Amino acid sequence: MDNKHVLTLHTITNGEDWFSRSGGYGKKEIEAIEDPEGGNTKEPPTSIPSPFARFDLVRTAFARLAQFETLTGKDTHNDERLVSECFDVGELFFNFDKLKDNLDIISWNKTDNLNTLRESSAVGHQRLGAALNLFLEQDGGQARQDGGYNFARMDSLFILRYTDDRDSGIVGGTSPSTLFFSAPHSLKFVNVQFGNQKLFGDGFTPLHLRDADYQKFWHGLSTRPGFGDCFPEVLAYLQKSLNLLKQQNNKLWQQIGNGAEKLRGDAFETLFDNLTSANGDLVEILDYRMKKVRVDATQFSRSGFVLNSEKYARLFPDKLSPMLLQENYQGRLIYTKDYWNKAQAVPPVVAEDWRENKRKLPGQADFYPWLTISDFLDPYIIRLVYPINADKFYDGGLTGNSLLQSYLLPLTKTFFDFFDADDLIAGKKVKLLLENRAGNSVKATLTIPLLPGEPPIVFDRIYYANDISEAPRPANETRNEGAVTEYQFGVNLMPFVRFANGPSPIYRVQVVDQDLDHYTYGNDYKLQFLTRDNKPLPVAEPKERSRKKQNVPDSVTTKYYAVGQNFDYIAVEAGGRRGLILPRFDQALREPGAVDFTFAIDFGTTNTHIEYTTNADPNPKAFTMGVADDENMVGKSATNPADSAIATLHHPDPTRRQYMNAVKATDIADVVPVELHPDRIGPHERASFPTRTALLENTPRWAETLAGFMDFNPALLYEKQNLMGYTVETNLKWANYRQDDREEKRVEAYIQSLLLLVRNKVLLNNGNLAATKLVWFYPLSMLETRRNYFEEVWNRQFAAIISTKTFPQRIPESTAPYYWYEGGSGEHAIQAESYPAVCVDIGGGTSDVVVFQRGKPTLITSFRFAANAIFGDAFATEGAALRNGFVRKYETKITALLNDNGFGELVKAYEKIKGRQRSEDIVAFFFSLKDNRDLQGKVSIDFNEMLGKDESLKIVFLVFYTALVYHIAQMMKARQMAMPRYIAFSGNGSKVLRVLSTKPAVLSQLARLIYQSVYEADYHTDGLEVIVEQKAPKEATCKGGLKHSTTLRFDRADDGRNDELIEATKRVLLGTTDQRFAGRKDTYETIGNDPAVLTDVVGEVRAFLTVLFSVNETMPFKDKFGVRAGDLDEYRKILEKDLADNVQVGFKRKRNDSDQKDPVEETLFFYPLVKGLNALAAHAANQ
Amino acid sequence: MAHKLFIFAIGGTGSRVVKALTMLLASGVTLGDTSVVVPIIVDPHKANDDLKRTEDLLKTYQRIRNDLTQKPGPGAFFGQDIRTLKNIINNSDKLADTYTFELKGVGNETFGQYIDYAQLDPANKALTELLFSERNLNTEMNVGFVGNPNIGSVVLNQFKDSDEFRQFAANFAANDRVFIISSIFGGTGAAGFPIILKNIRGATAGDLDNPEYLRNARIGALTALPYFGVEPNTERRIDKATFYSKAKAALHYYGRGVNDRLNRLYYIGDQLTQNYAYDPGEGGQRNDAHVVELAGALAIADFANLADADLDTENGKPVGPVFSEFGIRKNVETLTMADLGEETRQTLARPLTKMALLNAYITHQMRESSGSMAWTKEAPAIDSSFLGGSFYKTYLGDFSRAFTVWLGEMSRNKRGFAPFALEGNTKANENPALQNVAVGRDLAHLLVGYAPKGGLFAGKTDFNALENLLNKTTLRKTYPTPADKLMQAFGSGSDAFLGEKFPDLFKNA
Repeated sequence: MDNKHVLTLHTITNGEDWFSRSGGYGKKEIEAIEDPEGGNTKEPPTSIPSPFARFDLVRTAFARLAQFETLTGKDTHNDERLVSECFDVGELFFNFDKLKDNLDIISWNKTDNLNTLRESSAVGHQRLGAALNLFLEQDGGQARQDGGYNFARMDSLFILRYTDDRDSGIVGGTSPSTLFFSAPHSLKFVNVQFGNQKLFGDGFTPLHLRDADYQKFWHGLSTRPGFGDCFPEVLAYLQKSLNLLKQQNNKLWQQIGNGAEKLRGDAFETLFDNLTSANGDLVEILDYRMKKVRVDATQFSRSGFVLNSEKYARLFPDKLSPMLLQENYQGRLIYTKDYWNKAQAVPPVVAEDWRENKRKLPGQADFYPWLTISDFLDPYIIRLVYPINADKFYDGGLTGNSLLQSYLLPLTKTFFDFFDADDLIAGKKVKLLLENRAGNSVKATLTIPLLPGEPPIVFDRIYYANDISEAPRPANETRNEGAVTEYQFGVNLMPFVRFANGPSPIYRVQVVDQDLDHYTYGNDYKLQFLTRDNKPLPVAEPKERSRKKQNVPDSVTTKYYAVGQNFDYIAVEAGGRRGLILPRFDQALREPGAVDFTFAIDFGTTNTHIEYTTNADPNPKAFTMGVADDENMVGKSATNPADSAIATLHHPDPTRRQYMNAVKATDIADVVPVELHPDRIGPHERASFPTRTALLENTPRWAETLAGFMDFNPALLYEKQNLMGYTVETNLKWANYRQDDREEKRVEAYIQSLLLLVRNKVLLNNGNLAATKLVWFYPLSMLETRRNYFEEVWNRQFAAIISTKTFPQRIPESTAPYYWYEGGSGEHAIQAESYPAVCVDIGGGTSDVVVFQRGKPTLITSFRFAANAIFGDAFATEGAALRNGFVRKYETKITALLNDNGFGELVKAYEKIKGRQRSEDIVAFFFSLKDNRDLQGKVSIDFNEMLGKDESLKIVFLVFYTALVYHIAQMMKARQMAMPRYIAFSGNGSKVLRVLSTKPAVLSQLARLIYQSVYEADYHTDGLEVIVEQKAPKEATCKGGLKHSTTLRFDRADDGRNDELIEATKRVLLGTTDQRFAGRKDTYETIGNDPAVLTDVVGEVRAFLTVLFSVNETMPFKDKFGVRAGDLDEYRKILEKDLADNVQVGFKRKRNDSDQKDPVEETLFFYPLVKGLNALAAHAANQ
Repeated sequence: MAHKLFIFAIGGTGSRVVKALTMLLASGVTLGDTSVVVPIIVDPHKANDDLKRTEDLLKTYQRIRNDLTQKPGPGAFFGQDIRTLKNIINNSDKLADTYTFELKGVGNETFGQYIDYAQLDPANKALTELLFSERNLNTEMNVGFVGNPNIGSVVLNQFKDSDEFRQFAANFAANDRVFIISSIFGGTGAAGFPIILKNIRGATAGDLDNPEYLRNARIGALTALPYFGVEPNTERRIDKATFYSKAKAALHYYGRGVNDRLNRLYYIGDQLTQNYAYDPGEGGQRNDAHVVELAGALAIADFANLADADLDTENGKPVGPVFSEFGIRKNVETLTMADLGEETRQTLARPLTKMALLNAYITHQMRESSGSMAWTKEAPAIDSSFLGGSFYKTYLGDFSRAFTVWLGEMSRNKRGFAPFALEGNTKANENPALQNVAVGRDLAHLLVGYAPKGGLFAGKTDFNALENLLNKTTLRKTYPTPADKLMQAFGSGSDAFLGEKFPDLFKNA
């Protein structure tokens, strides 16, 4: 300590006393001041005696850092912060356009705002103004020359205010010394981030590590004239910064050039636009214009988070592909320009519209479309009360303990802008996982790989169940808490078939809503069908059929959508919740098939039947669905899922419905077979063909266009189960559609339904829909106008549902069975070579008679004397069943049998049928019990057999049969035909013959006697065989039709030639004693005006009765048929009673349905007999 | 050409440098052609002890000088005229007769209230928020600017509109000089300095009289860098850790906005420091005197002694500003006369030792000698009535006590200055050589590091020897008053005494 020492803080100088030094303290001396505290003050020094201290502070910081090649050095902590904040403020200005929502630029004009202060009446303001003015003037010199702050050249300062929903404050401003500077308080509230660089954060970012454009701005600006004179410290820094850039980011350095040479002049001006504040002021620093970055969202298109979806690019070719951002993402992907910051928060829901690019990237100032959890996952998940039918609907990969419930997919429609349904099922591009968790909650996890080798983006959300109160739990998307909503409903799709390239689909989609709960009763299910391109299909409003009632536990609401185009998924919305259904169309995919189907549809009065052949198998088969063909006819059928048309959302296995049972929602499943059709249709199933001709309806809106499997459906379970709440219409074929267009709509819906079944059958079985052929049948007794109406319906519906390449062909239903029997396809072979062969088709309403000679029909007639003549109510309309003999006699017995065996439900079904007081329907029910699958093995009720043993009613069948034969014989005789070799009976009504006798020989003998009486001659030696199709009398029509179809042409519409042929052979024997055929002049009008004709019919009937009772003498009714002989006289009296009146009534009734100018189309012979049979039955029932 | 010297002493350091200067001037240090020194203390800390002590001292100085019939000239005790601003002007009704400029509007008010921040228009509000931190705005100004000179620069600017500053301007003559004292690391001083400087250099007609003189004034300044610290203290607003960074930041600013406006700038500071108890000002800041302040006072003397030609200013810009630093010969923790530079010792040693002698004499000998020793007995007699009078008892006594305290503080401080073995000069007295010495009375040991002249003929170095010389110097001399006699006699007598006894140090001038 023995040397000279200067009392100061550095050790540069040496001297004694007060001595002069060269110049004032400059950088060298100041830097040489050793700070024992190391400069580690938290607060920046505030000792600059100027209100503009912060200008100076930042300026000094630049100067100090610029001393270091690395722009950092010992004790430069505060300087680095000040400079970093200066760049932060500049970057805010530079990106002002992006940050407009959060930033305001306040301009402070040196002249105006200073005057405001100085002229203010407030002393404080004057003081402030005076101080500011003093320094602006005194320190205003140019920086390099005078060491000043360039105030003289400064007109305005621009000040940034930042505001967001949490905070607001001044952030910084422009500076005439360093271009920008930050405000002196903590700026942590500024929530802006560029890349991983959080502005005003704990870390400092030197310029060369900042955004490329921003660096270009600074370096470009530094080439402007005079920059170095005004900002010498900044320029020094920039030069060092550029050196660092050259070493660390040579690519960018090359764009800037040595000494920023590439940004000189226009190059700089064209790179950026001038920044203006909100009120249009140009932002200037001195006279340098502030620039702003060009907002170019495409710059992020190469981010590793961009979801490169071909689908999105195809659907929205002009849009930016959005990023997928996940909080806590652990992978290493480039985000905007840096790698993803694992600490970056990402909100699970964002209100702003990403499609309009209104979303700011999390932690960033930039707008770019991005997606978060709520963009793909809904806030609510809808729980179903049954396991989903995962073979046919995608179950979302559901796993977990209790699998008695399932869920609709909680995916948004947005999701399908990027992914196809197939992608979900394949699970590669995207994978969905639903996991049942404790407390009835469920977790949905959506996993989307972005780049190979990097972890995928995982969006997940837990949906929480209701609390104990069962009140609906609201979701909280902000906290990423979803909520479970349980709905009791089903959705069913028919058919479960999909063609990539093939016929346009015809889907029926059924919604079954059994929400009866307080919270869900008001649910109104709305379905949207979305295409592969994620566009909703234009679909008509659904048809509502059933309507639930709040206090009726079993009641449901059903709705039906008709969808005519392919779709990929269904969006369900109800009660403010939504969810998606994804049919497994991958499992339903079919190629247009090679199999040609031919169908024959016999739409009968009582029963309807469908048979088909294929080019592979010409043997006609009854129509089935869902059952294996090969076991079609024997034993119990095996299920054939490939033939199953309906895909129910619920699992088809009834044993998996415990939960559904528990919440009493079973009607969700039970209503499907009722309102659509049973999953399995076949001989050993509850539903089979032939089936009762019956249409199920539930107060359709008649004013609307109505459709099959929407407003109506074939009641395949009619007579099989209680159809409470529905109306079943059975009289479809002969209903008076002229007076009531409801009938027309029913008929059309019924035919449409049958064709939809046919269509689905073809589609499911590799069939060629376009080549599908159809034969349909009509009764000869049908008026031409009515027949034309049917033809039009068949043609129209066939073209719409099946094909426009082929045309349906019609065959008189009476001729068809012949072709079946001819050549021995049936049980019996017949031929019509030497003698005529007679085919009689007895239906419910009509009997058709065709006489074949040498293989061709030569005489055809038809009349309404068939099964209903026996079982029906004659000409009565209302309440007649009360008097019906069959009903009265057997009703009690049969219902007792059912009740005793536990089939109360079936009794209810009966009561419902009975309610309409149509005896033929009641009797049809009695008959149906024999084939009712539910009764099999439990109770045998064979109505046919009961009647066969009933002696008192036998006479009815005897009269029916003999009258029929008598009339045919009279007609053949009138046509001078030989007595027939065969009489073949077909049709469901022919079953009544078996009541008369189960032995065909007895029937043959009786017929022969009638013929002999009529012909008044002995029978030829070859004799007569009466053939009654035993097993399937109804099917003979269809089978014959199919046999005959090979001779028909389906490639053109029916040209009427067959009709002409048939017309030529069609005869109507008036039924008079003169055995006269009706001519053209015998119209309903003329005959109605000629009482002699009707009187003569009475005579002919009396003649018949004489013949009938004379037969008893050679062939005792008692012995042969078990008819009580002692009653014969009584029977005869009943039959002869009111004969004339009955002819009149029968004729008038027919006349009212017919065109007055038309020739009579059926014999008048049977009119009094219809009434007579009814009376006979009633009489018998009393015995 | 004679000129006035206006000294703007800002803040605590300003007060203490003025105190040191007052001591020097009382001791006889000369200021060249300076006709009158006008100290103006600028400090918002009304309660500041340093300020009070300095102002009291100045008043004492002025009273002593006022009581002397023959005004002492350069080199004599109290030889320099010091006056308040009010003293030097004629029509001075508005001014208080004080050395202290009183700030207005700083009582119980925050800075934000001072500038009426709440009522500012949006743009000015935004600017204010940008320039001043919330803490700045909430700073209570009655406790000073506590290390925020940017606030000070606004608040102290009211000085320019004050009557004091107007009167200063009105009385400023072409050759008058200005010296500004401030510390660079504190609040008040750092802020006030540029304000005063800029207002002088920026004087415009209409606002002030003599704007031309002001703009071209000869201005010197002392800027004190850190030379002391504060005790660690939680809740502190003054932070020693920031002293250095503050100083550095301010030096940068000076380099740009201050230095070239000055004719002379004197830098001083010291790395060897002692922490003072933390006191931002409101508790009555009272820092021990420090040798750096003494050196600062010497800077004023240096400035005052410069020739006019060395301080030319043209168009408001000084021609060739000069910057000075202060060096010592030995870098030791406690300085003695021997450790100072030669020129400093030349300026300082004789006057200070003379004053120390006077002090010792007053303390230990006067009462004994008055009325008995020849030089006291002759008329005007220095008798007991004189000793009981206000001049001696009050003014000179006060001054003597202040001087003793001042020396004592300097000796105890770090870095210390302990040239004399006096009561209270602990540092000096720790010297083992002084163990058996009656400190303060033993003139042979008065000057630390210097032994009296030895040899056969050398008599004792004691009060006797001194009194002999006093007797000799008063012989055949007439004095108007005892006070004049005391001051003049002791001035010459002590001069002779030191030249005789300590010839090495005091080569007779």
